[in-house]
Amino acid sequence: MAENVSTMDSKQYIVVELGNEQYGIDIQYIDNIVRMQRITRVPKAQHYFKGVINLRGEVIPVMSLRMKFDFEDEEVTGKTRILIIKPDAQASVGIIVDSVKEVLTLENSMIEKVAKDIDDERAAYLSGVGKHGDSLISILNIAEIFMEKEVENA
Amino acid sequence: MDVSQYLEIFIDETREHLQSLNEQLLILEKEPGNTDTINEIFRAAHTLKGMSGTMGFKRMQNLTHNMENIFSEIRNGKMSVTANIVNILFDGLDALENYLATISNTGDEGTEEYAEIISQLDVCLKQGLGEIPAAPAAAPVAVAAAAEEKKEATADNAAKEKFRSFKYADHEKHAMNEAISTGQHAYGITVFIQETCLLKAARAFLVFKTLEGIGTVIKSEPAVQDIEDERFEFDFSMVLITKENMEAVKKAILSVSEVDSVYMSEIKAEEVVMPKEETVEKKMETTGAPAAAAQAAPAAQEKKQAEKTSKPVVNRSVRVDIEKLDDLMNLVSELIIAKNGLVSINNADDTVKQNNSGFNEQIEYLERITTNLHTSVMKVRMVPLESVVNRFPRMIRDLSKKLNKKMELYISGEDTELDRTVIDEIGDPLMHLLRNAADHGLESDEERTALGKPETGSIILNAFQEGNNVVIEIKDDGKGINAQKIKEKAISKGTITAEQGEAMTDKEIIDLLFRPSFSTAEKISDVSGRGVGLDVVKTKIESLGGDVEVRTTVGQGSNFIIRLPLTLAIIQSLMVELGNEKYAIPLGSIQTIEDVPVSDVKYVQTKEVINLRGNVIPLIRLNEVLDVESSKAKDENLTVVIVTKGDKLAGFVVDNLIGQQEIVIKSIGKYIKNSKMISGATSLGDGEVALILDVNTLV
Repeated sequence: MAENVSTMDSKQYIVVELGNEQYGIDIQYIDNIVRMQRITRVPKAQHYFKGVINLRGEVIPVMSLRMKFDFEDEEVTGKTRILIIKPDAQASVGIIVDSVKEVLTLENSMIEKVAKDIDDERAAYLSGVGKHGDSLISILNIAEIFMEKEVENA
Repeated sequence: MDVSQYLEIFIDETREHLQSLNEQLLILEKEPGNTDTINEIFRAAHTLKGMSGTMGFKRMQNLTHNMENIFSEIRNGKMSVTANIVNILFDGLDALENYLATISNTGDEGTEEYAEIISQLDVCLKQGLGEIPAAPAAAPVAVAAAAEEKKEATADNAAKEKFRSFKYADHEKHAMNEAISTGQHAYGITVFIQETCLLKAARAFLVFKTLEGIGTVIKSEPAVQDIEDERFEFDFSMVLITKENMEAVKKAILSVSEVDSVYMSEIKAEEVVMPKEETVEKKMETTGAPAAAAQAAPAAQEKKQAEKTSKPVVNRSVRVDIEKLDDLMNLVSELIIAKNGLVSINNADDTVKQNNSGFNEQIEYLERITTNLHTSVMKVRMVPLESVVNRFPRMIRDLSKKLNKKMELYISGEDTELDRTVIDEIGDPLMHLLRNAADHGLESDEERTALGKPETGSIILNAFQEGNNVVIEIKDDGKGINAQKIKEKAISKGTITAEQGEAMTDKEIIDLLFRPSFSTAEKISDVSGRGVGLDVVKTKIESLGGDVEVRTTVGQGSNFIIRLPLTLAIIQSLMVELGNEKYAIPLGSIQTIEDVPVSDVKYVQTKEVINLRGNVIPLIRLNEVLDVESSKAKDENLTVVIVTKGDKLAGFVVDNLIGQQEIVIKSIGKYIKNSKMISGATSLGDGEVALILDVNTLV
């Protein structure tokens, strides 16, 4: 039971897979998880934005997490999902992941901060690494992923 | 009392009152003797004071109180309106507006006291009164003082007992005397209903009903009929004759819900006689000095009168939460999507269509409903331009003083309606343009006289509807824009090179004014001329989906023409195909559609153009701009959609035309950056998303 209770010291995460890596996203940001659907390309957008989708009448931009992290472009399979995320109350954005694995409660003490001097620009998008059993889960810093867009453009 | 929930209403209403004060004060400046205006001003100021007091904004209340004192003396004819007073009063209004701005930003009035304005007001008051000997009208002064006292409604209990100002008719007095002599009590009662109460009349009715149960109400103020029709503020007063004691009556009234407070006292036999004498006294005055008596009319009566006359002045408006409207709008949007879905089924399957002859009829019906629904919802969102432009006369007055130029603003077409979102944004650009016209456009009085123009410059603000657009023109009869001067300036600033300057038409040069950091005013004034004006205007208007252009004749004046779309949420558009992607082009900016043979494409400076009925139109190959593989062979005829931006034309080359469709504009969110070529997206009947091209950025 303890695993389902989110207390002050623990948070629930949705664990997703990109290739053979696991990433955790704080469940409070997640609005919805939908299957892959037709994406309308938006010309001249940032390369990692695949375009927009129509989710029940709402138009939502969709980004590929793989391309954001400079992985190779994903192959759409039956397991591919779009996570609809609300970084703030007004705007939704979708991220494409290879698959959604599970919901996990991690205690804050089980998450180790990532050293900022790691020579990996992806480190900026991570808020820590969580241990679960013998697997490691990189916790995504949602705010960072969408916020650094200004720099991107300059 | 927790007042935070009224804050929004307070801000709205205060804004209205300040606006009305501004307008009336302008009138008063021109016609110092206009009693209607003075009354109107006094009423607005008084309400403002009461409201700010209730909300606990003491500083604001204090300032209003000081202003009200002056209005009160003017109204009583003891002070005359001078330019000096009007100026100080305007300063006061500005200070109040500052308070309001602080309140709407922070929820608190801030700590600014405006002591200077208050002391100026005080000096004015003393000077104004000092000039008039106080001796001749001792009685009116006393009454005025009493009225003044009454106005201190916030603190003083006695003042809240409004029934004290009752004037009793003979039969009423008779009834009271009789009751008192038979051992009953006559109570004067003033009931205040909570200001949140929605059904004031119903509450008042309940109060009356309760009282009728324990005694007889012999008089009420306002009259029972007025109370039933809700023609009262939040309080009403009456005289009750009953056997019960005071406490019991009070308890009975307070048992009615939403009653805020009750003030009552017993009316003694001698009191009943007293007002009689007073009335007689007043009657004598009326015959003796009509003017004085008119001013001395009891405040209660005046207030009642005021309420009657003020009714039609107030704009009968319904405040609707914009969020609720947006929800309604979304519903309509979905309805339209549903309709589009039907349309696409209809187009897709011919056999189905033949089987169901009623199907088409259904679609037409649905279409009619959605169109009507759309129109009516749009109407709810529409606000007359008046709410924006009515603050401009005041601004022009101030500018006229500041710049020392005589000028007059003429406004027409202020009843033209625009979408609420546009109205909220359009104020600043218009203000910029008016300031420009006043500062740069108009010549000084001397120059004008020398040129043989009327000394007073005119600025005209005209608005009208033109098709699906609203046009707002700001015209002045000043010196116009000198293209040569701009060219020199642009070259010296390095905005363009000398060669470029030679090649440009006057119109293109004037358009340079809209570039960032470009101001031609030789001297920078604090009115305008900081070079941030016109490009801000342009950006703002373009963000609203409109455009702005200038027409000018040197020596005769300039005309800034703003074109804005009537609605922002649902538009008619032309769907086009590029490769296998679909795009929407707003119908409003499309002029014609042409089929052009490849051989007709000419080159000017390596750019593709076509010559269409004498117009040379540049071609924009959308598939190149948007990185789409064209599905057409190279030698096929080109399908060209001719679009306009202001009076500039351009031809969009597309692969295929799909047809006209009503589309609901959705934002694509703030995360995707794509150099503004896409103004939004819309979902089509089959659930697919089509992007809407922004003609203004592409041309």
